[in-house]
Amino acid sequence: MKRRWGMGFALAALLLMGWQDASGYAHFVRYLTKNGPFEPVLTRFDLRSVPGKRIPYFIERRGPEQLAEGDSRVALFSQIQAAAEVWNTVKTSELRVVFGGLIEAGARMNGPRVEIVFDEVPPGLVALAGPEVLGEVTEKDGTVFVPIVKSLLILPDNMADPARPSWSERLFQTIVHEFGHTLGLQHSWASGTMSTEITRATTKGAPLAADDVAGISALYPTREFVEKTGSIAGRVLMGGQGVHLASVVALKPTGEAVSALTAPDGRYVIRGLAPGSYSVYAHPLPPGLAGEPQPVNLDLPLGPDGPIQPGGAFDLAFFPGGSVPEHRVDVREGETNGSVWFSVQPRQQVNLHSVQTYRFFGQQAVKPAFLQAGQERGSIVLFGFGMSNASGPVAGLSATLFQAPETLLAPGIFAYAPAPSYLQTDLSVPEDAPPGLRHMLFRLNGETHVAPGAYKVTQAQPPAVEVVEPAVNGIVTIRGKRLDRGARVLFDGAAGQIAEGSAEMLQVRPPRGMDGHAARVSVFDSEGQSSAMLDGGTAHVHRYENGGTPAWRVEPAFLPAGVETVLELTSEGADWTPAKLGFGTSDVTVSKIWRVGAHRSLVKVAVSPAAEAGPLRLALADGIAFAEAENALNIYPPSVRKLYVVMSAMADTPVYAGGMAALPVANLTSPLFLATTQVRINGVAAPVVAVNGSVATVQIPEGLPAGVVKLQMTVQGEEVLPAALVLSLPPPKPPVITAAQTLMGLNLQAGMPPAAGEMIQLLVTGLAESAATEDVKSFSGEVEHTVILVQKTATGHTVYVRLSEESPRGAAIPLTLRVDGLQSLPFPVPIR
Amino acid sequence: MRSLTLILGLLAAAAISPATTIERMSMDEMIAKSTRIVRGEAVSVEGVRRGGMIYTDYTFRVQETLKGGPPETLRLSVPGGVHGAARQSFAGTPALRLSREYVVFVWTSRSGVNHIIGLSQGLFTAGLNEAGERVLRRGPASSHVVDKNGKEVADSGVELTWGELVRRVRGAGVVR
Ligand SMILES: [Zn+2]
Repeated sequence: MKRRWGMGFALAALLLMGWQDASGYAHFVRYLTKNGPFEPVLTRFDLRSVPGKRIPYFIERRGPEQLAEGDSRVALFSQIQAAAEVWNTVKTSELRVVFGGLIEAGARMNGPRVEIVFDEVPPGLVALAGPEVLGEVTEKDGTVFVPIVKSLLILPDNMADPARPSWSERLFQTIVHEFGHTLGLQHSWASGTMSTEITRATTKGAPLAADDVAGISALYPTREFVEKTGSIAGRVLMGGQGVHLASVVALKPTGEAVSALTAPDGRYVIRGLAPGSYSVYAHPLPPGLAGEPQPVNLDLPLGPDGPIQPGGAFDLAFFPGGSVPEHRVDVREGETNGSVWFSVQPRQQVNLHSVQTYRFFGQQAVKPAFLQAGQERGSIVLFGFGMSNASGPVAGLSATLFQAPETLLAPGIFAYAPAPSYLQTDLSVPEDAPPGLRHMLFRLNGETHVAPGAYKVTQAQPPAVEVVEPAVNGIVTIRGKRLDRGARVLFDGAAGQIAEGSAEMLQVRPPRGMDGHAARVSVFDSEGQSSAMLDGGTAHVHRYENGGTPAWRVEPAFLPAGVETVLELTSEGADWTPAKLGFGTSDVTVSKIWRVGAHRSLVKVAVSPAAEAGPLRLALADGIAFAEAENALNIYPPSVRKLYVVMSAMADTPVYAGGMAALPVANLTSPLFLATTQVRINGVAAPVVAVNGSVATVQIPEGLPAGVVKLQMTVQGEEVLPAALVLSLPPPKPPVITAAQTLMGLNLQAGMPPAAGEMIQLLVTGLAESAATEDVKSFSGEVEHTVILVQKTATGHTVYVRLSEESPRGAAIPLTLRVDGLQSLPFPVPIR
Repeated sequence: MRSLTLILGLLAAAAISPATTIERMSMDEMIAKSTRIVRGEAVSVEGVRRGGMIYTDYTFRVQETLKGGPPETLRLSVPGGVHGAARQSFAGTPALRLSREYVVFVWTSRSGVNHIIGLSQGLFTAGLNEAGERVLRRGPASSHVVDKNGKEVADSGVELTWGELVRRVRGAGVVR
């Protein structure tokens, strides 16, 4: 049920319903009350309103006006798709974003979506993203939220910045981050992608951190998120008053941090924690930097009277108090540890904050600082606000490691010689140091700052690509070093398929690309590192040489608004079928693409009743290949009546060859009649066995293989729009006893009744080839008979059974066989 | 030895605050790239929709112009805002208070929309310092800002006097 409410009504309902969704991660938050308890109302997509819980994203077709040298629109589009789909890797989030096609500026559509557009933006602005809402607080399925109508991600018209080509780590991470904003996430301070780039410890190879996963999952939780992760909750108080927008962070010495922000009364909940024990600290948000919004880098929570300002600055405190992490807090799955309260001391302002850390691979600087296990002296270069002046560290500044197995070498923190306002620390990393993120603490004049994810320990240096050889028979050979460490090879934004590999050589089938396209090639390891960290990602190119692009045909090419159907998509001139496609409007939803041949796909679509009439352009993508077909589909107004099968309303029970399927038909002017309803499945006539109002029940012909089948129907001579069924394997059938015989092969019914305790043989069909004696049981009512042997024969099986001594004499017993929970029909066996 | 330019260049490029992902600009860069530099106050505010986007438009009454020409009022657009029932949020866009004095580095797009350069980088509050000089303030940022070529920018930070800005604008060869 869905209702739209006035604020007062929503509030009353909130209080009645209680709250299950109070998450403190930085989302776009509203509070409906002026006083506590403050229950955050979050801004998010209404996944129940879209087919398959999939939110489409659209890319403005023209692309940016200017690109970096060697860059292309196709390459950029592939990176945008890859960055968007990073959010689909979160298993504990229900949200899935799907490519919806290309749009023109100002395209009109109705359904919720993300639009990626290119716009003239002022200098100094790299990207901009956020949700648009209609100011309505909505209750659905027991939760109250503000539904996102559409989100915008704006990239500049001028993307010629050589520091940010499409293949750069930096642009990719920016788009992942901005996409996070479009889905309902704000900034956090735990070094995930939703941190600002200054403190971010994610990479293109490992683009999401635990904090990002928790944040998106809190908005779109799966059952697993609720049941398998735990929470830490409590309050941050200063002088007995709650502190608004304090950041509370849970972390482990060798793991990623997860954080939450406090409500106006100081309450917080950190959700999405894996079971274990954590250090927890509360810290004030750093001031917004130049160019960032003030006073903090957030869209402030909205209360009834407008934006609610953050509370005052305070001294960072570890639970249960003090600036040293001594205690741990236990988290169990599915439970909330609600006793983690902080009492913090005010301070004038936050001076130490926003630490960025680097290391160098040759001339390439890499963030975060990656250090390798066994490295005797690894250098980290850093800059932290309030930590240095022109000649080096501010007197009294100290740096320590957060319970790490590494050792900070003397003299601790010192001026980075080439640029003394930047700082350096040197670490020794033991051979057996576990891989993962580490954290550092900085102290100055009684102020403590924690830099989560300050550096990352890996097993080895990043993969190095030395040469990418031209393709031979469609296979590209890459030579280099450390290429086998969980390798993934990206050609622009799409992964190739590794056919063979060693540390020095990979043989890769590239993803589909456009003829003549030069794709940048990078190799990624499983620790978030990539060859681009060594070579900048520009150096190695694969050039595609593979003929032309096909022409595309869609059938049917005309659809009225408000129907569901299956389109048949064929390609002519080249044998590719798309992995993704879209019609450039959220009003035509593509919920499934089945590749059914080298040139043929079936595409399940739903057209919204609100869809505007007119022609639609089809955009198709596979790998980094991109194609378009003008006027591929035309939408009529809903007044054009077309019969269609309501696939979305079909029962969820499996259908299979030989079984039945109930087909609900919409837009009928009269009930269905048996005689005038015809169905063909994959071209084979399927008998209609019953009709009931608008529902026809058909028998699916035997012999159709499992998988997708196309369904065509006529009703009183009128064609119904095509539909698709996905056939499962037929369910197992119970065995059938065809005869009960003496061991001599004489039928028992023919005047040869056995005595109780005697052995008989049963001729049986429908047992699995591999049926074992111990799997087969025999009963008559409550009485069990002993199965002695199950033997395979030419026509089925022979089952030898010793009749129980308890068999009632002088009557026929109903003998059955049971196997795997399936029971045969009873076969009468006379007893002497 | 790693070069100074390299690391400064890197840090400059990395000093990004996404949401709004911005690239930090030096004062000279802002002076050069802005269409107008004006001092004045916002006198009214309204949400407008342009294309697919909602902007908050401020009517800005100009008291003094340091770069560029008239008019004496201009319409300043900030992405995001409220239009009718719709609210578009961009985590990280600035808001101006009415009747407060600002110095704004304005950048006018080809379509004629006036933006603040670098989002809030080109927005300064104006006031008087203890010596009675007119000063511009922007956020509590530290002096850690470097330009694209890796040079430290000394004046990007907390406070800048109006006189210094005038000197710099003239130094940049801009005719008033
Ligand atoms: Zn951001």
